[in-house]
Amino acid sequence: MKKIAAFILALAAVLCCASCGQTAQTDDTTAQPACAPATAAAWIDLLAENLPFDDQMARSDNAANVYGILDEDGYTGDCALYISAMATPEEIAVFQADAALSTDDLTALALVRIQRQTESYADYAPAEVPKLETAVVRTCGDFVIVCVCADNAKAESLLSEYA
Amino acid sequence: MKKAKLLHALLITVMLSGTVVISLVLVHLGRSVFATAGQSLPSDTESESQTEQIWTAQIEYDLYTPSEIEPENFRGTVILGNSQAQALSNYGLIRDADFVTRVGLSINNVLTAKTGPAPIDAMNGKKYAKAVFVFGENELGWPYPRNFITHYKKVIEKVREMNPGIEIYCQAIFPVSAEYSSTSTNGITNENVRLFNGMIEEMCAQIGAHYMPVTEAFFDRDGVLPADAATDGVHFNYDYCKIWVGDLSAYLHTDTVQPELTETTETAVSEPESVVTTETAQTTEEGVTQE
Repeated sequence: MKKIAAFILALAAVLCCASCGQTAQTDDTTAQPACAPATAAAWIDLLAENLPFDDQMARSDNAANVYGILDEDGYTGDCALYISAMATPEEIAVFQADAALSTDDLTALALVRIQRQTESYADYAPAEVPKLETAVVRTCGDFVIVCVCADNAKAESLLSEYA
Repeated sequence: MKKAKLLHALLITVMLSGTVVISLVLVHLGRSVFATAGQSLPSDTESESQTEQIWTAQIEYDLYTPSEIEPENFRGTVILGNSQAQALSNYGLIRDADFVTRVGLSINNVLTAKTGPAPIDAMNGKKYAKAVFVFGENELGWPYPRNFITHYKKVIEKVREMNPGIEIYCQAIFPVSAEYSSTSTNGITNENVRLFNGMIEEMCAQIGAHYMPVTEAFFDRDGVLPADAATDGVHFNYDYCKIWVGDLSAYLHTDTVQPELTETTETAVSEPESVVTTETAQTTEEGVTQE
């Protein structure tokens, strides 16, 4: 009888331990989405590898300047840019909010950028304008992510996994 | 004996629990490593292709070496121009210059704007020693090429008025790819590039500006833009932009002597005999054509 009790006790302990481990992992995943990129460059890597582009793209470390962030804004957040050769308006921009610019501030800057690009391309290459009209601007944690690519629906879907 | 069996059972319990805990820790650590690298945990079938993609991305990062370009050559410089010039700003290849650039910007739209401030207004309150002009690609389809030179001179005159003594550098128009040129419906052809460049060079000689010809890297054996330089045959990719910035840096470094003025009259630029345009080019109210 005691043998059986000892076996049950051992089994219960093992199951309890495994269950606790699983719970801890799930909680961790909920707090921070599994595998969510931790840096702006990592976000660019993830999106650049999974989204289609019509133009040749290249990475740039001039994201803040391109998005109209001035020195006097005091922004020092992590940011990155993956941008076209200008034949198309395609780009991915990622900005991390900091004490100077919140996610709302960065989202507002992104919308201004998209609006200006829309005006420019409306005259220059009207066929590219739909990409801007369906541009994706999402907040994932403290990152603001802007996607203008050849399949913005795919970008939306991809980012929704991390939002 | 019974106590020994009970102790044995408890020992097994502790060992099994320890094994499970260690396994969970190892799995967690593995995920953390991938999360830090910004990568999804690859499946067995994906791992090889993802490794290749990461390697490619690393190579692209390595291409970015702005230290090869002499930044001091661009200090006190303003660059005015179209989308080709805008790309230099976007890529962050020139840090020490200001940009007055926009996609689709034509020379006739620098001094005025339909709404809001004119592009030239961005130069207000600043003093520059050098101005680099990058115009012509969007104007190649204009039915009256002389308008291009007329507007060009007006803008240069305004820039000189705002910055007395400023050195003016006019970039020659770059060739386009053979495919783009042969199928163009908007006047952007290599024939027109040569024609307009002749006019720009002549204007520079007349008004004391520096003409910057296109260097050999932008010509293939047939004298047109190499096919690998631009996806659309017009807008250079990062590598070619970098070559261009090197060229600009060299020009601004070496071409420091004020060129000799040959003529200063407004009527000196000769009208070309003809410009190749097509009926499908869209003419604006000013008699100009936009790509």
